[in-house]
Order: sequence, then C-alpha cells, then structure tokens
Amino acid sequence: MTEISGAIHSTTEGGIAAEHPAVPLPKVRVAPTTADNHNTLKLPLIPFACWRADDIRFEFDSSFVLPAIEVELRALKALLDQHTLPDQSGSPNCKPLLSVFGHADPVGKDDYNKKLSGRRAAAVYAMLTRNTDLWEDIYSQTAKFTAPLSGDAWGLNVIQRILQDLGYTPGPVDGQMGDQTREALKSFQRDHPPLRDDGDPGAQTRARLFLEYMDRHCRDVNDQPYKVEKTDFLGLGADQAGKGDFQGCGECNPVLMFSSEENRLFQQAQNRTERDAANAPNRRVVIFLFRPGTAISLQNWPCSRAKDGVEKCQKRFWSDSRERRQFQELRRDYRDTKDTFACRFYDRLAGASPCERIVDLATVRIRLFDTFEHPIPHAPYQLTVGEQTFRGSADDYGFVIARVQSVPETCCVKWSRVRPDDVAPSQTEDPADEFEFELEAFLKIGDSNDEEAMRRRLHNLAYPADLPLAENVQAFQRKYSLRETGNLEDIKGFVLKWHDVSFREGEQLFADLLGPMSSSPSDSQSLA
Amino acid sequence: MASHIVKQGEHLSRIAHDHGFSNYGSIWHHPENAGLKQLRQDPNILFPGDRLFIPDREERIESVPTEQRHRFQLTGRGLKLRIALHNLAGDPVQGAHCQFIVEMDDTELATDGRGMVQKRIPPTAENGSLIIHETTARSPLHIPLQIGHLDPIDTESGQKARLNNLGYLAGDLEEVPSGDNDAQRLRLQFRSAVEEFQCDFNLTVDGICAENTQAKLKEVHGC
Repeated sequence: MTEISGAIHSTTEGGIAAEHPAVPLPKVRVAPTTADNHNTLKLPLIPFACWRADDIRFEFDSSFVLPAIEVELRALKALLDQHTLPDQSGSPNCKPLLSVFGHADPVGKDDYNKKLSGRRAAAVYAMLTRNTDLWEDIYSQTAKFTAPLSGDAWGLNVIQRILQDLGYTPGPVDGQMGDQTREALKSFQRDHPPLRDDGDPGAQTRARLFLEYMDRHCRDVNDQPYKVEKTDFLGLGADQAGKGDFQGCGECNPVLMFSSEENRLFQQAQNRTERDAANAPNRRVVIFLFRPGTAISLQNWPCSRAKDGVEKCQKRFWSDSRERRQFQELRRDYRDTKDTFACRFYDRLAGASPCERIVDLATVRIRLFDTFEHPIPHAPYQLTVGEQTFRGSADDYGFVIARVQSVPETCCVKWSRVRPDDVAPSQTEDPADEFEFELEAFLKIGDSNDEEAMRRRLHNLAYPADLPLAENVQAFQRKYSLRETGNLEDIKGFVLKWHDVSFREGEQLFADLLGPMSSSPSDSQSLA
Repeated sequence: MASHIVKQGEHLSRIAHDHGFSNYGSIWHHPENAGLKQLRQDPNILFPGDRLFIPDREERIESVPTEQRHRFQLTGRGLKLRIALHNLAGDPVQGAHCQFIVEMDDTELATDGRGMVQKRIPPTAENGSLIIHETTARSPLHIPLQIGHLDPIDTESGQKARLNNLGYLAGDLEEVPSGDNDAQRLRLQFRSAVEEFQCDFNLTVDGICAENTQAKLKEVHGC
C-alpha cells in the first residue's frame, strides 16, 4: 500500500488526535472554448485533522461522559490551537470548523444505535460548548435536541457521580435518594448561590452541576477550562438540533467487522462480554476539523440530526452497503479493507483519517504496589512514556494500562496510595507534588533472563539499578527472609514471579512495579 | 496533405494554429474528419490518439490596387477560457476577486452573477492559474489550470477530471497504481465519486458512469 498516514499528535488511553495526510488537490483540467462552454470548479469538503474519544470515556451503554475524557479534551484543545491561524489583524481568529460524529457497534437495532451514538455525539458537543440545556435534554429525555432513549437514563446515578467527582460525598452511586445524597446536594447548592439548598436535584441545580463538571474536565494543557464556540462548528450552530454540528452514525460505520464465524460464536450468551469487548473500537466519537471558512449548506448536509431516525442516512449508503454490513468469511478491519462503512459520505470524510483505524499501539501494563507489596487499587498515578503523559487511577487490581505509539527504554511513573475518603482532593495543590512514589522504570527488560534483565527487574521492584547487583540481591533476600547469599541465581525465580507475574502470551510489555521509589532498598524498608 | 495524432493537452484550435490555420473550421469541417467530429462533438475536447486529417492550406488570391494600404482580417474565432466557481452548496460564488493568469498574462477579475470569469487566450496556451482572493484572511487559493487537457466525457479520464473539478475527488489522473491494492483503491475512489455525484443529482446510484451519468456530468460541469 502506498498509503501515507498523517501525523499523530497524541494517542492516549481513550483516544487519539491526529492530522490527516495532506490531500493534494487534483490538477484542474479544463477545456477552452470557441463557443460558450465553461468549466465548473468546486472545492471538495475535506477534513484535515481528527480527534477520537473511545468507548471507555463513556459510561457503559450510556452517553454520560466520564471524567477521564479530560485527557483527550486536552489533546483536542492542543490540536485546535495548532490549527488556529491569525486573521488580517493578526488575532488568532481563523479557527477550524468542527463536526462531531458518534458511532455504535453493530449489535442490536439500527434505531437504538442511531439514538445512542447521536446522544454521545451531542454529549461531547455539549461539553465543548458548555451547552447545559443539551445535557438537560439528554437527562430529561425531552427530545428537543436528541432522541429519547430509555436505556440511556442518566438519572440520579449521574447526579451522584458528578457530586462525587466535584468533591462532595453523596455516598455510594446507587441511584437512591438517601440522606447522604441529599446532604451532598444541599452542600453543593450552598456552595453555588443562588441555588436554594433544598437538597432536590431540580433543573437549576442540574444545570449548575453539569456546568461545574464540564468546566472541571474540559481543560487545556495548562489546566485552564476552555470552551468551543457554537459558531466554530460546521453548521455554525444555526440549527437548534445541531445539524452539521453533531450527529450519530449509529452502527453504519464500524471500523471492525467480525468474521461470520466469530459472529456466530459471539452470539452465544456466554460470549457476549467478550463480544462487547471486541466491539469496543466501534463505539467511538470522532470529531473532524475542516478548514476555516468552510461553508456548507445546511439544507444539503447529508447527515440526519442526532434526534432523527436512520432513514435519511440510507440515501448516502454505498450501492453495495448490504454486503458491507454483512459479516463475511473473514474479519474486516477498515484500515486494511476499507469496506466496512455503509455510509459513502462518511467514508469519504474518514478514508484517510488516522482516527478511523485501529492503530497498532503497544500496551504498557504496570501494577502499582505500596511498600507492603500490596497492590494499590485505584492508585492515583501519572505515567510519562516518551512524550505522552497519562494521568488517572489504577484499576481494581492496581493495574495501569496505557496504549503507546512506541516503547522507550524507560518511563517515569509517579503514584500514591488512595486518599482516605474524608480528605477532599485539594484544588490548589500542585498536582506534580501530590504523589508519594516516583520511579524511572524500565519498560524494556530484554528477552533473556540474563544479568542485565534481572538488574532491570530489580530496579522496577525498587532496588535501583545503579547500586551493585550483589547489594540489591542481598537486600532482596533480606526482605523476603531468604538466605543472604548475594547470588543472583538464588533469587531469579522469585524476582521473575514478582515482576512478570501477570505476563500473558501476546501482550507487548508488562512490568510490575513495587513501590516506593527510593534511593536504596533500606529506605524502602524504613518507610514500611 | 497530412494527418495529425492528437497528444494529451492538444485541442483543435491549437493544432490548427500549429499547422498554420487561423480558423480550425477548415480542418474540423473537412469531410475526412466527419467521423471524428461526430464522435467528439467539441473540437476543443479531443482524446490522445485521435487522428485528424489536415488538409493542404488553400492559397487565396485577392486582387487589390497597389499604392494603397489594405487590411485583411483573419476569420479565426476567438478562443476563450471560461470558469465558473461554485461553493460547497453548489451555488455560484458571486463577486469573488480573482487573478486569472494564462501564459504570463495576468488579469484581475471578479466573478459575475453566475460565478463566472472568462478571458481570451492564445491557441497555444497550455498553463494557467486562477488565484482566488477570499474575504477570509487565509492565504489566497491558488488553482493551477491545465488548459486543453480535459478529455472527452465518454473516457474515464474525462469523467474523473470533471468529477475532480466538481469537488468529488475521483482520483489523481497522473497516478500510476503500483500494485493490485493501489489499483483497487483508485477504482474505489472513482466509484465513490461517481456514486456521490449520482446521489447528489438524483440519478440511480450504481457507481457506473454510463450514458445518463455522463450526460448529467457534462451538463453540470459545463462542457
């Protein structure tokens, strides 16, 4: 293939921001005339950059945008800034125009998927534009801007999640209006006058909760909240229901289609979880950037609104869309086969887009431990791999999983134990200072179990590689009450087990880290 | 008497000029060229490989008095290049400030009510460009023109060129596919453009640029 891929700005755990490869405009061939013939010229509609948020940035089977999307929203702002040009007066006013496309996976009904994908696109658009009315429409299912969908009921769960996220203590996210939730609401209301502290999450309180939440997570690299004007979208915000600005493609444009055999197996009840996991790349929200001044005709815009049905989409389907939408003998990946999108219009926008391919990223999996060798579930962390920095919380087992473009020798990881619940996260503290542990960890261990590979494993387990190996071995033996021989061979099996405990075939890299970072093993013990 | 095999970029006005004719009519209307005339219809849109019969130039004797100044006017018809600009919605772009450059000759123009700019060009002109100064602050849009390179509507290259001009991105005409995948990608790109055009103009969407689609494409493009 002679395909040239565009520059990737950032790939994060939950998405990507990238440039499309430059499309040289085709040469214009014209005919002269001795009569009155003419040649008509019209510029193509070509997006030049893209952004994608993956399924994991949304509540499962819901359009509620999770806090972690802030990573991708930061990348979006950087992308937008880079493509904002000065106007004649020198002010940066020539901004790219955006259009948001939501996608679902090819499971379930067309109609359901169209609605859910439209609601997700709308939710992201609303977050960028701080359109709390739009979230209210999704929340209350009022069908003004989005299609109501009973399965996507935000409800009190979302209120509790937002309260929690904003540092209040509504108790467990259970959708029940208990005393704790009521008190948390009152507390929020008191903090945000002129809300009345009645503990009732009414429309005004919701609007304020939504706004605070959006402001908290839609931020630039300097941690300043940013918003995108509604006139910075392709439809210029002219249509109330977002025509040209945001839309859902439903399940028409999957990037991955299973083989018919895979699909048959996935149909079985016990395989559904696996099916949903395998389908994750299809559930995504993509934003395309168009050049400043791109003027579309709303009337001719082919995509139906987020609140409308799938009928209008079908007009733009490829003539062989039936075949495209069927599970075929072989698994199809849009990147390779280019034949998984049913919508021709979208296919033309996305064909060259780095955001519409399942990028082969390496997986870095790191397990964070405390000084007692206990993994730390939900440990707050900051991981820097090359130029990419990831922030967040480890999973239930203390694992941090990051997808990176390439794997350097080492990475820098900082982490902490989980704060007690009664300590609210400080807003003023410099986030860089808030981590208890820090380690420059080896990502490349080496294939063999030679001395260097063991040295690196020990380093990751808090026995620094710059100390003499024998000293580290002895410290390790002391810690685990082994005989202090200082001989590497004696602890090899133990170190391997500790460090590579979660190694599984086929995964790129695993490194289990034992904290804390310390200048010597004795420090780590004294900390314990 | 001679014959001429048309090469890429040649049109009859130019061929006539190169053979010393001021008016292409003497070639085009010659009975030997009736077949080609019927096939191509437009003398300025020929296809590489087309064979033209070039008749001998006829000497014409005019008797005029001596010791006087005489003015002879050639009957050649003026060759023009006419370009209409449309926006994404398909409406003419009116009053756009343009520079229309053909062979060093730079004319400043504004598009008329039909989005049109036109200028007289010499029969030998092959390269030109249209520079569109937009009201937004972005740098002006520079569109290089290959004059006389448009192929007939019933050829794939002619269809692609028209689709490209109309913003359908049918594929680079000069790209030589370097393998099966490449060829497949180019086929798909052309098909996509044809289907999108058919969809926009309410034709049967089948991805095949047959007669109906060709006729519509010619009409929409303007030649």
